[in-house]
Amino acid sequence: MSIISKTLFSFLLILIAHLSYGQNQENDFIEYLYKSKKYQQLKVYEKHLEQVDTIQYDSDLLLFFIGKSFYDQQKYDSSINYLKRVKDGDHYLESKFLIGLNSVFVDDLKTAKEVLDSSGFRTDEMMNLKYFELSGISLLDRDFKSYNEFNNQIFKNYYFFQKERESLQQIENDLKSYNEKSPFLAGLYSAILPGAGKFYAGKKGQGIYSFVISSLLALQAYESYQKAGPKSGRFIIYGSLFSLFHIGNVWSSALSVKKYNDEFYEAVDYRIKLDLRIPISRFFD
Amino acid sequence: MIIALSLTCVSLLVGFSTKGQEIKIADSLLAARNFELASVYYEKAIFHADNPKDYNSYLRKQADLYKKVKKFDKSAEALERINKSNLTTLEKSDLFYQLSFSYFMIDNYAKSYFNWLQYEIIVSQDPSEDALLLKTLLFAKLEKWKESQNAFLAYTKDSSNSSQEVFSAIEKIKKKSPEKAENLSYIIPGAGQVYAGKPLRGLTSFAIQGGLLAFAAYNFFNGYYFSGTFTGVSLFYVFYMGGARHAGYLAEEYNKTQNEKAYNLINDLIREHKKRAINRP
Repeated sequence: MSIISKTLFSFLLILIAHLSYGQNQENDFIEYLYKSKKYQQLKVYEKHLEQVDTIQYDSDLLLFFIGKSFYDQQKYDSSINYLKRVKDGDHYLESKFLIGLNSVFVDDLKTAKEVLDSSGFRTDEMMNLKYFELSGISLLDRDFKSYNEFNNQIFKNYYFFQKERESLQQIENDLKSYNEKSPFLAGLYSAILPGAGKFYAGKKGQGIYSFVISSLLALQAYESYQKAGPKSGRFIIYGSLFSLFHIGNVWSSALSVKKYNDEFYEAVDYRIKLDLRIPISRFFD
Repeated sequence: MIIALSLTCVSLLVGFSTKGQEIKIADSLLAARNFELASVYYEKAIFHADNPKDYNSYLRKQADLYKKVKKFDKSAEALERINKSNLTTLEKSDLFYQLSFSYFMIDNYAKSYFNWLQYEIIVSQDPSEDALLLKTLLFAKLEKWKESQNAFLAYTKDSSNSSQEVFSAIEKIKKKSPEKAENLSYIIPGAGQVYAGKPLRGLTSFAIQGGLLAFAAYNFFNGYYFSGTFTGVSLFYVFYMGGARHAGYLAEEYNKTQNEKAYNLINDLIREHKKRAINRP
């Protein structure tokens, strides 16, 4: 080998080493921006990297961290857009789980299931985590059969989802044993005894308040009827005030019960989503 | 031949090396007014800084950039990250001044004051004009008029009486006690509102409560005891309690506007002083 080619070869080696060193530095910086929560700077830097082609960096890593930063900021749609473009690399599988979670948060359960189902998770940890996530998503769907199937598929109870798994089982019981309250009954109760419907809806304070106001108005209407007669202005005013308040009370009792039911299901969904979220961050971080 | 080859390779390497260049890139981006990207490159320089001195100076540059684009919250954030143990006294006092300034601009007067106190303890020579201006405004916001006046006099180096009048007028402004307003309204409905400088509201409040009492009395007189009690007396009670609380609130509002007025007076003084300074040959 001539001295020229030797020199060329060694410089080429140095150049390659240097390039990878530079790339590592870039990747470290991208990770640093994410970890120190400088999300806006991360976005600005992404735009910059797109325009400049002399800087070497791992594009999957950049897409992943931007996607994750959107997830942290609860911008789930943008997060999905970025994470979907992650094609390979160390964070490929984590991004699949995050796409699933993001889809759960935008109530797109179908996509969430598909992503988790189609991704090739090979390690025991990830496979169990996948079954755990799928069981939670089935609960969100109120599909108890699939929930039990996925729950039974979990073959090893890992620490990172153990507590949440128990919590999901509790939620399943809560859902099954929950007696929905009827808005019609609430209205009926309030029509017979003012405030009773609110009591039934679990709003005791409001029930007492409605009862007191209704009876006071009724007393005044009764007094006017007795002393001034049914055609007096006084009776008409107090009578209509009482009727208006009474009708309003019946109506709002029915609404309260509807709200009571909605709130129960919302609280359940919130608990499930939280239980789905925690194991993923515990496992990957 | 070999030398030429090595030279090309070395120049290539320099082209790819980023460490140390980041700060230059950031500075030139700043000069080109590309502030967003400049702040990222400062961050990069901070991330790669290998000694505390560089680390601090890059953070300071980033803070100055944010100050320039009026993002004072970010500027305060960058300044807070500076490692104070490596600073000289002069740098430290300047840092506290900058922090005080940034917090003042985002209306965080408690933190601004806290940093100002530290600045005053360690500053060795006389405070700069900017610092005195900040002190004047900060202490005015904190309603410490005497200190504000002293800072203003030191700032203008003017012992004439033109500002004296304004400051003594400010000192004479009387505060209204919310508690007193509330109690007054308990004694005579509406009196608290009058005390808080809203006579019309006081009158309305008085009329409504008087009307309700009259309604109650009329009903009792005619034998309508339920209406008298539950419409007349109970509504009166609601307006009576609410009116008193409202009077207290009005007194608080009154104090706020008075403080704002005083602050604006000081602001006018500063503006006048600046105008005069420009016109002076």
